[in-house]
Amino acid sequence: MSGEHETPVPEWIRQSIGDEPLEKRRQLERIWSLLEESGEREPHVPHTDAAWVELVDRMAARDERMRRANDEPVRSGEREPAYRAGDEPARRARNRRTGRIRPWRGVAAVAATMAIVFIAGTWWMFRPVTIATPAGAQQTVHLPDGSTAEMNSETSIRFARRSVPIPMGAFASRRVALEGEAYFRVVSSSRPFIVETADAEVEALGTEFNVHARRGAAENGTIVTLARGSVRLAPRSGTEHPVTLSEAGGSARVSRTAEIICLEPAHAAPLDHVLAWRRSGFAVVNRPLEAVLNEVERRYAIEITPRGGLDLTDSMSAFYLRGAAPEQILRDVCLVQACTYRETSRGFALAALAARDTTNGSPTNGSPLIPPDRMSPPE
Amino acid sequence: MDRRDDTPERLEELCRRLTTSDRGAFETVFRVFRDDLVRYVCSIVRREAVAHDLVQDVFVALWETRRTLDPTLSLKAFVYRMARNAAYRHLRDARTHAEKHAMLEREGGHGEMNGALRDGSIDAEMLAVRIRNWIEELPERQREAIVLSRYHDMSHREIAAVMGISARTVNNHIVRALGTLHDRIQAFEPALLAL
Repeated sequence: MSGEHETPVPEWIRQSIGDEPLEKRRQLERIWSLLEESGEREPHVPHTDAAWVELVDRMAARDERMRRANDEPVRSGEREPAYRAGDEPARRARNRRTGRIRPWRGVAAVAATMAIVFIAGTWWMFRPVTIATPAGAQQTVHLPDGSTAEMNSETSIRFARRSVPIPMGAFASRRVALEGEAYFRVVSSSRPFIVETADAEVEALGTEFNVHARRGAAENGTIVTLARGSVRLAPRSGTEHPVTLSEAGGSARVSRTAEIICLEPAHAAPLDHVLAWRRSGFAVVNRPLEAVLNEVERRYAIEITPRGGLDLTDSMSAFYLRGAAPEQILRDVCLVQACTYRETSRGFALAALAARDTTNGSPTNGSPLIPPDRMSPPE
Repeated sequence: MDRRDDTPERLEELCRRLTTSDRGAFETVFRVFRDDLVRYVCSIVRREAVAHDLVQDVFVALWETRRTLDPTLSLKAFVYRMARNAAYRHLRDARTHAEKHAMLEREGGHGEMNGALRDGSIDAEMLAVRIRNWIEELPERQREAIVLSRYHDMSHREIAAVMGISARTVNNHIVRALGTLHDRIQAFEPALLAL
């Protein structure tokens, strides 16, 4: 019961009791800290987590009810006017009168409904489907032919819900339009499987490959990396001949200017680097800083603000086999780029180290960087 | 939840996100306030199960009014006010006053145990129970003002917004509550006041 951990009385209360004699004031302040020791009674109620689950369920049920309630008036509207016992004979007579024309109306209604269903169904079956993965998420999409596309963050693909089953030229092929990055596992079939990007057309027959087709200033076309089987690449425009990749790990890039640059497995980015994103890893191979930061932003749905002094065109590589965390990546980026980062409300801000004073001793000095947590916010 | 989530700046941001129907922000707000609100409501309705239900109602209502929230006003005061209204509405609607008195009596009986306190050796838990009982015996408004200021970390302005009275009145309630507690302690445990 010592007064050691006495908490200060808030200023506004201190002022309110300012008129009391000193002795009484001390005692009142003492009571204030006694109150803390006694605390509030802890009620026996469900744990916060359980309460949250309960609340989510309840709100979902409520949404459902509201949705149904919105449908309801239409049906109850038909039942109007309200049925009253006294009206019984009149009501029956009315039914008999209208009964004669009802069959025709029924047939017409059924025919119209069937026509609408047929048209809507046809349209629905052949309508292209677009699936997009938001920043910070990944997902696997099963394509109608049984192939799968694993989509990286901020990626969208478009494909026909159902392709025409009879061979009919271009319609016979399985076409997928891609923007972003995805890993395709294609089931073999007589119909070619084609991935279209802004720059290239990639054709496959029973194979697995990664397509990187991001758009943005720091990106440079479509990069295809083969994991198994073989693929054929062609620019969407220009006169270059298609190139076939048939060695696992082989890679080719179709540039913005419709050039094809081929890389043997020995010179290409290693396959496990290219595919690291599928195992929650993260890898960039020889990419400009700007592209690296964009990749981190997409993957983790955060915003990274580069501040002055950074060379965004400087190339770098980084590889995390699995379980990469954005902060860890940024820490390493800062290490190679001689910059510091700090947390902002939506992500991180990066700034070059002031005056480059690390250049004189950075490789030998064990801690060339100011620890990011020591940085003070700009305000 | 993170302690950082209940700073005024963070709450203002959460409130802003809430107005845009951000479910994540809603969950954070829930985790920041829920336990404290249950304790607060429980101090009014005195029944744990009821307090839990009422607080759940408050969050459903908060979600429904999310679009009309004003991030520049204290979100904390707003949810506490909702909880307080719900608690008093419950007391009024259910006409549970008889029940409440029965509860009080039962708790009073519990409090008799405190007679076992021997001077000199004051068991901390016993003392805590005793002080809690004294707080419960305070007039309703005084009790509420002191509970909110002491256990819910609120400024007099926030309490004023929650209770719908002026900040000056909040001060008066708290001074009077402290005075009453002072008299009780002086009468029953004068040793506590000796510094």
